[in-house]
Amino acid sequence: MSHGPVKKFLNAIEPLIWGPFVTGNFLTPLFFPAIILMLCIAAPLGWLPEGALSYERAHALATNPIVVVGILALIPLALLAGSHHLRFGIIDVASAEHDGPVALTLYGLWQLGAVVTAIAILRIFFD
Amino acid sequence: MAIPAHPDAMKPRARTRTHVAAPMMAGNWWTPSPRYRAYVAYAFSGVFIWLQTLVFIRGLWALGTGEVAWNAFLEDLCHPLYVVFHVLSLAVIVWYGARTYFKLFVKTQPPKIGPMPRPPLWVFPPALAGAWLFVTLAVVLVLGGVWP
Repeated sequence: MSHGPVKKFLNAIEPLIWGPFVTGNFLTPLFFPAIILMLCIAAPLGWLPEGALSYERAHALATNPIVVVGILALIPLALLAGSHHLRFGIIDVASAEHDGPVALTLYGLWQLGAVVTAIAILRIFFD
Repeated sequence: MAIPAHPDAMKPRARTRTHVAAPMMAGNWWTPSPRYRAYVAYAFSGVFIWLQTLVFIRGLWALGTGEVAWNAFLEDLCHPLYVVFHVLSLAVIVWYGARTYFKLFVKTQPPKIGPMPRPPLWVFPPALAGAWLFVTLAVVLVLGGVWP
């Protein structure tokens, strides 16, 4: 791994990333299991009552201010937790040699995911 | 096979004039010990977190597109491969959470939280389990159509 400008930049932003990473590390397993269970397992298997995830109800839920704030916090923080874990997993198992491009790619995808989430929320309000 | 270790590994505390070879480590250092395997599995849980989050973003996007797209998204989730993936994803993220809350959280608490002394360490596991149960119940009730 080079100690060039990319490494210096990554070292400089490390303290800024650490706080949101720990928050994502905490919130992801708090909320994700129940959402996966209900939306991705119970609904497809027909375990939910009729209309529980109808378009009207889902739209009303997704435009609730508390839910909007929750989604805008949870999804980017989960993406960061995933990216940060993967970055250090790759350093540990493969090598730190390519940490610069790996970290920039993973953090870039995290930023992109956060922007797409914000746009997705805006589309729900203005559809 | 040896692979380059993190360049800061084995770095002397003070700068020295002696040049040393770049640190190397065994490529399979993590395979012999269950603790190391769990550590690496914990790091690579990030793959499931990423994929699962992408599914949620796709759902939000479909919701913003309209009723037909939302129903198509729900229909896609019924595919057996999706269901198998989500069962696996649920298992991985529950394991990830159990490790975060019950193995790592207690070990990473500072002696003081702000100006206040830290609560006794035995308080954390039941408090975290209670918070997890509360949130899970709330999400189940909301997405299950029971509340509000």
